[in-house]
Amino acid sequence: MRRLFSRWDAVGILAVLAVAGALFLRTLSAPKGAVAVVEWGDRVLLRQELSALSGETEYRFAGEEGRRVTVVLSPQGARISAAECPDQVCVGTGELTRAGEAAVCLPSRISLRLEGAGGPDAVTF
Amino acid sequence: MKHTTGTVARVGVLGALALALSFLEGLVPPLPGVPPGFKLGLSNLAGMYAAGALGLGPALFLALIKGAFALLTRGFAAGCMSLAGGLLSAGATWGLWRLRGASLAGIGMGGALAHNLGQLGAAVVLTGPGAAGYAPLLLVYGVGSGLLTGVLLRGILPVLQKLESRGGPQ
Repeated sequence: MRRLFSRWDAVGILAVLAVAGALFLRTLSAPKGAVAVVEWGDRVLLRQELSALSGETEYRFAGEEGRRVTVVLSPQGARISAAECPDQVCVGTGELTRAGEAAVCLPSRISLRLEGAGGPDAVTF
Repeated sequence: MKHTTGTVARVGVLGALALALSFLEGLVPPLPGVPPGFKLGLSNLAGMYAAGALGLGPALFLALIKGAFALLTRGFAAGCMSLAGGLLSAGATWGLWRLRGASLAGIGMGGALAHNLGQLGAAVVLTGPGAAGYAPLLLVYGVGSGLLTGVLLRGILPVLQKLESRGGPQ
């Protein structure tokens, strides 16, 4: 019977948590999101400068299998407010405010993400 | 291992177990603090055991079955995600079982992390680069759910080894 835990596991856990922490800090320290991008697969459906909006603005999109996704943009941020899918992961993601943050609706294949003022180089991969 | 009738039967039982566990997981309400869509990964227990006791082929076959089940019940995107995660996880757990020094927690975490990375890769391909923003959460939950499956396997393995005439994975 194998051991349940070895010291290599501790090393591995620390390494993975360190990578996760670094990625998370990069998102936290990212500049405020300036441009909202809505994509369906690799097709860009909307690219909107947030500072150009005067208040909350609602956009509706239809993605895969005609599933509708509602996106609300405001000068402060962006969120997916409604989606025609059973799991509602993207709606649960809440308000996005920083560059690199994203809400993804897998069933419709529509994603909403924020870019910094400098363009897509603020996205973490 | 030779593909005897016993192997076929065991793959069938493990496949049914994996599907039943993933169905049961779907009934559990989202845990507080955990975003919706994240699961405990209990159905990976069957895949982990298959990779160790039966080998790479049966483990990959189980991942295919799970992927097909997700495709039929939850749609194309869920099917792709399940398949990408399952195949990668089967490969990783099989490789780790072959390392004599690897612990049960290590095998569980390796499988869970490979599963999450496979799903993340599929999500990026399906929806675009925005999905990569979930990477930090997926890494943290991979460690947590991997530890859980490792602990559960520790409890289950002795029972399974008693049932197995030729002994399970050592």
